[in-house]
Amino acid sequence: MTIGEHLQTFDGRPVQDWRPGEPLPDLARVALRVADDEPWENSGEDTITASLRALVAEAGSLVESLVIGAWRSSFEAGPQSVVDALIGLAPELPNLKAIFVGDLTFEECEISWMFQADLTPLLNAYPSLECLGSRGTQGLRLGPVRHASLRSLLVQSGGLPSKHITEIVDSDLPSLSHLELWIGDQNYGNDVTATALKPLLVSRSTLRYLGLRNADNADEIARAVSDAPVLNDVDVLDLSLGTLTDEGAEALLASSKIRQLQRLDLHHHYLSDAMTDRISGIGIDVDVSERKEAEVYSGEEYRSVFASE
Amino acid sequence: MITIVGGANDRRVTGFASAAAAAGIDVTVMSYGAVLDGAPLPGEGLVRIDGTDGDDACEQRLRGGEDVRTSPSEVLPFAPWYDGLRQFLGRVEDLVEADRFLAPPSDIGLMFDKRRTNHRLAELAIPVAAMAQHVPASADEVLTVARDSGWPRIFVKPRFGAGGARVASVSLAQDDAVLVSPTEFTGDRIFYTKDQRPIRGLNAVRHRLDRLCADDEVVIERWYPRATLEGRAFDLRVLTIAGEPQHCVLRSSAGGVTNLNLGGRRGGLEQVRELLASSLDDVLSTCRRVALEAFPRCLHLGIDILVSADRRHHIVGEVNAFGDLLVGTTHRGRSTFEAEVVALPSWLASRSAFAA
Repeated sequence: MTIGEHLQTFDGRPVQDWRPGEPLPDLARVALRVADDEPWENSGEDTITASLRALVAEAGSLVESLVIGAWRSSFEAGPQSVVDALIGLAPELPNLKAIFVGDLTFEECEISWMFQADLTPLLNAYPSLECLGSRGTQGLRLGPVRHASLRSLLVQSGGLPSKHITEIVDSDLPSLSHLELWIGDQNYGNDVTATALKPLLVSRSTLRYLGLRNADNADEIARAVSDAPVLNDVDVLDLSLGTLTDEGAEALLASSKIRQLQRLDLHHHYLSDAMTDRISGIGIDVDVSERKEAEVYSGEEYRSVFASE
Repeated sequence: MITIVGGANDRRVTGFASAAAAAGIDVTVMSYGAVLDGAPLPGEGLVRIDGTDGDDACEQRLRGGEDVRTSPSEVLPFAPWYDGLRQFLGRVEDLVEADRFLAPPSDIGLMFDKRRTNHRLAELAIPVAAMAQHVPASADEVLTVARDSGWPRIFVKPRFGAGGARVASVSLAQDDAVLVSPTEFTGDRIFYTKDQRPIRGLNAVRHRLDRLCADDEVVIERWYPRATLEGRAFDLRVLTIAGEPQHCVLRSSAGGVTNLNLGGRRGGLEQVRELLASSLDDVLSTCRRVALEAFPRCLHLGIDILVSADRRHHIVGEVNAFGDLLVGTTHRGRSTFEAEVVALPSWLASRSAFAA
């Protein structure tokens, strides 16, 4: 499966496309999505920077949430020029709270193919930023960084290199309450083992939501997280969109900590009916919707995550 | 009176025949085989050439020789079929006065030739996909052309024929490639499959491309990211009748190659209007230009329109001579075939060539 649609919401706000000349919506309510005006051009400079400048000129101090869509030649290069423009415009976007970089569908660029940029300078340029989201991990960097305001970090990947776990572990994020990582497929770069995850799963007093989603080693991740100290802190554990089977669910059931959660999100899973019943009955809110069936080719079973290619 | 030349079970043939009969027009159906055997066409009246869907014997006859397929899903190279089609069309053209056709055989032949169709539209400055001039003989040539053109993603398609079989999308990186195609490559045979799992890696992709290039002359088109809806990419099929866009359907697929017969779903004009808003007018005006400037002597055309991700840009994909089978789709209460029949008298009058 793949990312088939642009973001409908980001950080709790509806996303609305905008380009210069169009009326601005209520910027306290809406995340503005800005993308290249010439999506079929494959040379020259994209229009995102110009759109951002026009936005800043019109209502810079009102902008709170931005979603960056496809940039020029996004199939071949990362959003460096857009990131640079955002950094340059930081003084004129004093109330920007949330940025998503890379809202591209599979038609624009497959998630595993997408190029990203070093987003560390972006975090540094916006010390009051509260939410950062990104899609695609080729060329991505996320720190280490010290950022006092960041409350939500979302990294969507078709195959997450474990070095990004290290970058997050080595960062100082004292306000972080929502950490959402799309782990992806081992054929597309996911090397996030239980060992790699361990330093992330230590006690994190501010964390309320932990998402280790879209993982094709969901069982290993479920085992790793099931008794981890971090579960004492979070209210929500999200292992959805992956390939969780009964094996991983057994580990969750065996954990004394799972029942202390408010919510366990497992939707898009490969659990048996019996296990679905058992795990639903642990006395907390458990999402076991979107059950998938393994596909069998030449006697081998294949389970796929939501987005990998 | 109208003579339809086509497969007796082709749903376009039966659909148009019943719409015409309901309007009180005499209809005769003749098979391709009968024409090729030398049977005379009626000396008067109109002639509609249709497809031969579901008529394996006729398909085989166009190819010449025995049916060598090992299963119904095997897809043979298109070149021999196109040779047969061209000969057949040439024969019909010789037998019938030019002003009696609902679409000239030469136009029908052209529409099954992607290179010439692309060229004709591009010459008229109608927006189409960029197509490489070079005819690649091998995978390496395909990859070189793509790189030299600055196209990181391409479609490789048989020059002749229609439909999604033997069509592949290829994405290229410095030392990597991904190919997606509804094509299963088994030994030296090629089968149609709905399983469009990507084939990754330069060598694997090269191997498949070599096969496609060896079997058919292929064209290389730049690949354009399309708009998506509910998680699927979509394009439009617009039916023009007498130059005017009428029926319009939205077709979508989750895979790399969208085509109606590849399991696409449909939505109607209302949904399209909602999705495209003011861009729809541009799309319709492009369709009018295709009909009036590129194929002015065709009563109807099935035009495939690709829409960009921001739904503000579009290009013409294919133009289909047999593109009017849009079951369940109506325009002003009429099916595609009913609308064609209704439009016929004024279309003929406007050509001032009503011979029947």
